Amino acid sequence: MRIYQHFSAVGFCNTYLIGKEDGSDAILIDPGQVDNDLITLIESHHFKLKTVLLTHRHVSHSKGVKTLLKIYNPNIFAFASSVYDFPVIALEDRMYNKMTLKELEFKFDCNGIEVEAIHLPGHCIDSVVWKMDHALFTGDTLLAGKIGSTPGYMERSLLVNSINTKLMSLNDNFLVFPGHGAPTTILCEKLFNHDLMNEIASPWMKKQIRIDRINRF
Amino acid sequence: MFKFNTCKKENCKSYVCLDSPYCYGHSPNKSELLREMYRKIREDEEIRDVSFAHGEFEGLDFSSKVISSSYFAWCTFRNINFNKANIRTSFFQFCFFDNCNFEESDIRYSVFSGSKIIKTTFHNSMLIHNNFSGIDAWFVDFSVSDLYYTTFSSAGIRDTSFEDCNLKKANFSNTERRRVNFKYSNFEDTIN
Repeated sequence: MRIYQHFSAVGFCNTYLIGKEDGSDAILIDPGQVDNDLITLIESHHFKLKTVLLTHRHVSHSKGVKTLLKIYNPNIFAFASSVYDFPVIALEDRMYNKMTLKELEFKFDCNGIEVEAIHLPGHCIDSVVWKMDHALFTGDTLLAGKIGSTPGYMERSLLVNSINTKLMSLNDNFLVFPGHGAPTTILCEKLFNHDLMNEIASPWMKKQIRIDRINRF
Repeated sequence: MFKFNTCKKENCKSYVCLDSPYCYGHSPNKSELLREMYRKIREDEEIRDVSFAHGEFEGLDFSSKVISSSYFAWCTFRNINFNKANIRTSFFQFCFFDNCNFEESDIRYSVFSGSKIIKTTFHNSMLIHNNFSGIDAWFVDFSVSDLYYTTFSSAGIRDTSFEDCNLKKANFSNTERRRVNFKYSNFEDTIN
C-alpha cells in the first residue's frame, strides 16, 4: 500500500492518496482542494481514481469533490448523505441497526484494500475514521498532540470517550494520518496527548494509573 | 509504505525487519540484517518502504539521500550525517539521536515523537508537518528553519535554539522549556 500526502492551502487540510501500486485503482481521502499538484500526484503515478472517502462534512475537507466528479467520476463514501449537494454512498444506515441503534461493523473492499469505517462523533456528528491495514485516517477527530475542536463540553466528552474506546484499544503501532498537521501513532497519542490525558473518564488512563500504582508497591 | 507485518514471535507487536519474518530484536541473524541495512544506506540513493525498528547506527552518511515511507522507531543514531537529506512520511519515534547533523534537510510528514535528541543540528532546514511531541531535546539547533505546523507538545526542550524560524501553527503546548532561544522568530503565531 502506498500513501501520498497533499497539503491544501484552502482550509490547510491534508489530502491522502492511497493505492496498492503505481497504475492501480486509488482512493482519495478528504479532497479539500483540487489543484495542479493533486492532479499531478494522481497522474504521475498513473492511478485510476475510483473512490473518494470523506471523514466529515466540513467544506475544507470536501470542497474538491465536485471537481473530481467531473474529471474521474469516483464513488464518494461518507457517513451521512443529506449534508452534501453531490451524490454520496451513505454509511449511516449500514453502520447502525435501526431497531436497536447498536453500532455495526462496517467493512468493504476498495480496490483490493480492506477499508473499515469507524464512527467517531464529537468534532462533527458525522465524523468517520477510515482504517486501512495499520493506517488510520482520522480527519479532525484525533490530531498529533490534541483532539479535534468540539462545539461544547458534551461533544468533547463524547469525542474523548469514542477515541478511548475505539482507537486507543488498537495496536500501539498503528499509524495515524490526521486531517491537519503531522502524522502520529497510537502509542505517541497515548503518551503525549494532553487532551486525552486530562480526561478523567478515560478508561485507558484509569487502567494505566492502576498499573502504575501496582508497580509502585 | 513499509510492510505492516508484525513479528512472528509470540506477543511481539513490532513490525518485521526488512524481509525477515521477525523484528530486529527477535531476529536470530541480527548481524546479517544490520549488514544488509548498512549496504542499503551505502549503495541506494533512495531508502524507501524500509522497516528497521530497534536498530543501532553509528557514523553513517545519509547525506542527500531520500528516505520515504520508512520505519525506524526505537533506533539509535550516533554521529550520523543527514545533511541535505530528503525525508518523507517516515517514522523515527522513540529514537535516540546523538550528535547528528540534519543541516539543510527537507523533512515532511515525519514522526520523531518521544525521541531523545542530543547535540543535534537541524539548522536551515524545511521541517514542515512533523511530529516532535514528547521529545527530550538537549543542545539542539533548529535555527533558520521552517517549522510550519510542526508539533512539540509535551516535549522537554533545554539549551535549544529556534532563532529566526517560521513557527506559524507550530504547537508548543505543555512543553517544558529551559534556556530556549526564540530570537527573531514569530513565537506569537505558535499554539502554546
